[in-house]
Amino acid sequence: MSKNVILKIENLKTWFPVTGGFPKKVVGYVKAVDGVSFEVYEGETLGIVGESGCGKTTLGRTIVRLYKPTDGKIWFKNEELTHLSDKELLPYRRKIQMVFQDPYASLNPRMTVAEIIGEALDIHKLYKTKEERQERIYQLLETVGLVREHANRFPHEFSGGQRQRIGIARALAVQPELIVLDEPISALDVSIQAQVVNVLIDLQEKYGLTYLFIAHDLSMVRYISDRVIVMYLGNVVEEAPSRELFRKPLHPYTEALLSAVPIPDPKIARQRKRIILQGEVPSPLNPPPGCPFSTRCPYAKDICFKEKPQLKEVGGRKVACHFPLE
Amino acid sequence: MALLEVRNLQTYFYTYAGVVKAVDGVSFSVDRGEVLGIVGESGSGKSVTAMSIMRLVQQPGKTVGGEIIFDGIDLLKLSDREMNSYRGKRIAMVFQDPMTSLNPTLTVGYHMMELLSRDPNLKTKKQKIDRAIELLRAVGISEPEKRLSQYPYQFSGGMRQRVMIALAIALNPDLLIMDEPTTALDVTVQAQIMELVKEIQERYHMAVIFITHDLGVIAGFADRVMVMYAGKKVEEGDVYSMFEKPLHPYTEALLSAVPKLDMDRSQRLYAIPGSPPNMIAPPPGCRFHPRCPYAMRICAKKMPVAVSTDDREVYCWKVFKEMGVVESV
Ligand SMILES: Nc1ncnc2c1ncn2[C@@H]1O[C@H](COP(=O)(O)OP(=O)(O)O)[C@@H](O)[C@H]1O
Ligand SMILES: Nc1ncnc2c1ncn2[C@@H]1O[C@H](COP(=O)(O)OP(=O)(O)O)[C@@H](O)[C@H]1O
Ligand code: SF4
Ligand SMILES: [Mg+2]
Ligand SMILES: [Mg+2]
Repeated sequence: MSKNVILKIENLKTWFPVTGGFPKKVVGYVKAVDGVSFEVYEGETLGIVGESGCGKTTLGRTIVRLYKPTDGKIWFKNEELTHLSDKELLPYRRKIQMVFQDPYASLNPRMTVAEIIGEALDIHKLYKTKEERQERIYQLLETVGLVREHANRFPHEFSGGQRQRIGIARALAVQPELIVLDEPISALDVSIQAQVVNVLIDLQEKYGLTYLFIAHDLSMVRYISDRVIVMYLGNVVEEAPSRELFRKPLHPYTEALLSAVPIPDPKIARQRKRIILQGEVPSPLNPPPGCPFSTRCPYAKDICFKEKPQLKEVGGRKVACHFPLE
Repeated sequence: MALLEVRNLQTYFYTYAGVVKAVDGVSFSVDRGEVLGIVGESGSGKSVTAMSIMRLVQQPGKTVGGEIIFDGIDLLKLSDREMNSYRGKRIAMVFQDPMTSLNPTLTVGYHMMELLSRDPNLKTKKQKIDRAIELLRAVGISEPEKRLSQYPYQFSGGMRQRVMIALAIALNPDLLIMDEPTTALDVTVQAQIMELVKEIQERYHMAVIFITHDLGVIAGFADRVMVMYAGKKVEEGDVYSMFEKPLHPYTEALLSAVPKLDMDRSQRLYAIPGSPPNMIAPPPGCRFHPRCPYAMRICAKKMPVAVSTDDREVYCWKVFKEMGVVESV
């Protein structure tokens, strides 16, 4: 794998204002993404894990610029995107695509599959003749394992797995280099998840795509990702190559998260030591001072409640903890 | 004698499009103190099985056949009133979405007091309040006195599910049915709830039917597993032997569709082709045959018969052949 950085995120923050009172005024911010930095290499799959509400979707949507970041920088190759106008952004919108979690909500029910995919081609003017446009649509359908005959049907005529393939075909239509996949298989049945994952892996090999794979299913993330970042309360707490992260987590939150994953093997499931976290995730409106995980961390000491640990390099990996696990 | 014995249960939905045979001739039993896991993908009939046992199936659905023998009595023969006295008291249920059974306009305390009024041992209001507090504490809710006067929306998803468990065990039922109780929760909260459920099951030696689509959750909790596909039981057996060597092609496929701990991308996942059948016109013969890699001619024609071994029951022609019982085919 090449080590060219395709995407670089620096101290990214996306806060949502919370209004209240009369007359209405901003009374606080949901710090959904609160100072995130990482790099993505060309052709790799970077997994992003963490429990619901930790900011994964907001991060993904900020990267494809569905949200405007509150602060921080986003580089795609050598271009810094946060200061670009909508018009200047257009070529980057094409190169960075997103596939959404909910295959039901993300496709317009009144448009046929051909119209949905065609629309993406139209926006970026990716054909010369009508025939070429039609041919592209057929090709795309076949690429994701659907057939030509599907082109004139409506989304409701498809199963969940097929709808997710349509979403993938739409993303592929504009020949992107990077695809943000936001829980692309979470809504699907186990037997269908593998179908979609196999399609994604094949496409990556064929087109040299780079993936940001957002999920809460850790075993699938481990399987598909080269590297993984773990988020907690708007922050990255750990970053590591997939194998290493799962073999030996350094952050106490990662350790607890991994120990909570159900394992489909009764012997292992009943023998392993589990760390049951106490309490729940604090509100991103009011994150704790110090370490975001301090309120639930079994290893927290005084400093953890006062000082926020920075993401630091430890043996080629990164962890944000005052007392990384040995 | 088993605590619960379900025989040839048939629950159908009479829709405009046709009859949906949601549960079509399913039999199984649960012993006292035993945990039976039911797995299968969405639409396979897990919830309808549970609702049928509770006799809570709504129009246009109806249980049209079978017996549900609970502690010697066929629940399907009881009057509505008699059935009401079983619900909550002898058999309780926890749903995936607690809000389906909690009234958002009533406090958690109100829900608990109403249920506890059915406990003949609790005579005074004080006794009931004390018991409610004891129950909330037992399911790991802190400051229970304060929590009683709060409304369901003031609880997080995990806390609400704890309240549901407190309500479910309040009258010491013999059988607890849990329908995907942790599916909507995050993994660390799921782990907390599963820990609690295990502890309660052991402490009260309760029989549990645990429904989920997550093979991992089943592996960690069930004694026995029943796998459903398209309204039918396809395999049932001891949890250890089933995960070690699944016999039915569908069970095998489900287990190879999820990545193993030591697997990486260079090893492909097994993707079950096609999608689950249309339940109004399910495939003839074995309902799995259009997706089955081992399907033979007979599979499309005849419903597989049961093949039973010491610890397993499988409905599959391939297994039937392998076991060497060929003469009748
Ligand atoms: N549009 C929005 N307005 C206000 N708050 C939001 C919005 N989107 C997300 N949030 C909040 O930001 C936090 C992170 O949400 P999200 O990015 O969806 O997390 P995840 O995808 O990891 O579940 C949550 O607390 C969520 O409620
Ligand atoms: N109210 C209803 N009307 C029509 N069909 C229904 C109804 N409820 C359930 N079904 C059908 O019964 C079948 C089994 O559903 P269910 O037991 O909920 O599946 P599971 O719990 O395994 O996901 C499905 O095909 C579903 O469409
Ligand atoms: S009966 Fe036939 S089609 Fe059905 S699972 Fe067995 S081998 Fe496959
Ligand atoms: Mg999300
Ligand atoms: Mg269900």
